[in-house]
Amino acid sequence: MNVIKVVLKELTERKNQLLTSLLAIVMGIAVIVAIRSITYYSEKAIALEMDALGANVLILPKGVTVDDYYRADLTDETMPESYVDDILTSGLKGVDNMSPKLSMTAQVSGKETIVTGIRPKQEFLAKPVWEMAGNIFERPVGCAAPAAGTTPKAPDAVDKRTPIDVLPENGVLLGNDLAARLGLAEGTTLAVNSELFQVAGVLPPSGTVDDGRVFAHLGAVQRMSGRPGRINAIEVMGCCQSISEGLIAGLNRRLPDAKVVTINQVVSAQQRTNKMMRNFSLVFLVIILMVGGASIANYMFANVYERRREVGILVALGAGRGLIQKIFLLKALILGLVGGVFGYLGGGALAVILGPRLAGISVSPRADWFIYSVLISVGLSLAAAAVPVYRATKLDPFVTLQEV
Amino acid sequence: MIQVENLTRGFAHGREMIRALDGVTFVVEKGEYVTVTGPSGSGKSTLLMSMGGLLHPTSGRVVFDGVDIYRQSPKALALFRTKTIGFVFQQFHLVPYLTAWENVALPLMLNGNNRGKHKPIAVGLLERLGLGSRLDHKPSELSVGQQQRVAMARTLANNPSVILADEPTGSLDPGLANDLVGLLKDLNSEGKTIVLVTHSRELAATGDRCLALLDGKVVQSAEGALVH
Ligand SMILES: Nc1ncnc2c1ncn2[C@@H]1O[C@H](COP(=O)(O)OP(=O)(O)OP(=O)(O)O)[C@@H](O)[C@H]1O
Ligand SMILES: [Mg+2]
Repeated sequence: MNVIKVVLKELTERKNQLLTSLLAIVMGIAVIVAIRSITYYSEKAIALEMDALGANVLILPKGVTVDDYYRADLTDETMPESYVDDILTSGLKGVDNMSPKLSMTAQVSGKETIVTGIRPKQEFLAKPVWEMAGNIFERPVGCAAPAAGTTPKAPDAVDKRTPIDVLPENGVLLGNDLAARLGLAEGTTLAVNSELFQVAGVLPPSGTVDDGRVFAHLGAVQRMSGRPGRINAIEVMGCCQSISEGLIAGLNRRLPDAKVVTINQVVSAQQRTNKMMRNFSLVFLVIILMVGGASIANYMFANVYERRREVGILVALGAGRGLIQKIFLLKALILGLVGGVFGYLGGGALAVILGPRLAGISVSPRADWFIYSVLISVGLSLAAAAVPVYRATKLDPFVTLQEV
Repeated sequence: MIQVENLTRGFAHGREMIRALDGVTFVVEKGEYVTVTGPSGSGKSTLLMSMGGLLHPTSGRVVFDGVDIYRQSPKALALFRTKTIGFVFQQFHLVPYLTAWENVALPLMLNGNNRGKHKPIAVGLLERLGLGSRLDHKPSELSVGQQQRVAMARTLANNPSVILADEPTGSLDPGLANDLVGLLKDLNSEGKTIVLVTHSRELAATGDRCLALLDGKVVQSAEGALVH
């Protein structure tokens, strides 16, 4: 027998009561952990995106807002694919490469997934990280200087790669996370809605939204989504120089019905969104502190009252005030620990599940937040228990033992 | 030896002051078996709890073996309750979420006994009281008589020299009550000092001496049975 054992026995005597008292704090911590995890990974993804595409330009339908970068090419709004030719024939200087795309959500192996239609060659040119897939892709060296943060590739290393120009008509490329999740490898077959496709390759991990997507031919996606000749976005790879020299203005003049933005602009919009989420989670934290704390204090008050007779017994058997205090504080400590651990686990799970859906990124729980979750939860429940515990030490054993 | 000297205890009730004990003086010798009777509300429980270090008197003293127990530090008073006093209550006051042996082990834990010894000591006591087959039962899984025996085992766990029993047979049928009195007699013959509070005239007569209380005052003290 020791005090911890006594406390644990008491706590597990009424499991339902215990669980309900913990609900508020567990949920609160879970939500904070989830928001923080998602924004953390989202920011990391943005940073990668910036490195890879910082100098690029995105052309979107006029009505699209760019507050949520990950959704920018996922709207119902479309524009004609012919914009690509308009730009080509415009004689605008500094356009290295254009990759038009159209995205749709579809059932892939029974799971809701984003399928993006691309022109393979252009898309490869636009995605520096894809060339790490080895023999499939190559990148032009020359005008398109690598963006800040990436190390320039040695030309001879690039030269060894043989380009694939053609993705087979019924071929798809899988983002790295998605392939792992679905357990698919090169050469296997998969169903998009009811159509069968061949996996032509698995893309290397990029840390961006691409990791969770399926890439098919633009034409195939246009056909499946019933939007022939339409696209959601054009990614334009411009020479850094040209952007400052009026490429944007030129594109705007050329395409009055489209919205031309630099990735930088889009990304800073996303960063604002993330910052808002972070602030929001701070507000949430304060609410949790109040609701979770009130719930624990309520439980502790009820518990002290309910156990007043046992307090009397322990005092009669020789317990001092210190021991009574210790017992109830230990109880609060255990509540705090359990709340923190389950809050962290719940929040981690929430982030892993919601991350791909809300932000299009894969999220893995971060271990250091485990410590914060537990510290916040324990601190909160000890603080909430202070007054009830004080009351417990003031119980008069004569009175509680005389009650029938 | 327990000396109760001019013990007074008041309870504030609104603006009124109730004198639950009013200048009680008597002595219980070591190894004596004293019974206390009196009508309801006469102050019996108040007296017993005050003697056991659970209720500070308003004035007067309780002196145990030369020490004024309420003049000690709270720690020393708690230690006095652990080592010297064993309470027995009418309602048993077992801890509902602990098993029989765990209830008996509680005083051992409070006494700072080596943890490994708790179970053997508790089991030994319960076996002595005929509960060897009910060690892992919770109080709600025991009959009333068995609960009272677990409570007795708990009282005896730290081998206290004084047993203060408040109406211990109040919840028991006559047969079980007789068993309990027999046990108290045995403990008394082993040298333990016993103070037994009771309403029952027969039980009051089982002591070496009987003390009658009325309105917080000792009204009669007699050898053997009281003459009512
Ligand atoms: N906490 C309290 N506050 C106010 N008055 C109290 C309190 N406890 C006891 N009393 C009063 O003190 C008096 C003595 O109470 P006590 O419990 O000692 O009586 P008793 O002799 O044990 O009675 P019973 O035989 O019914 O158990 C009673 O009049 C009671 O009303
Ligand atoms: Mg009483």
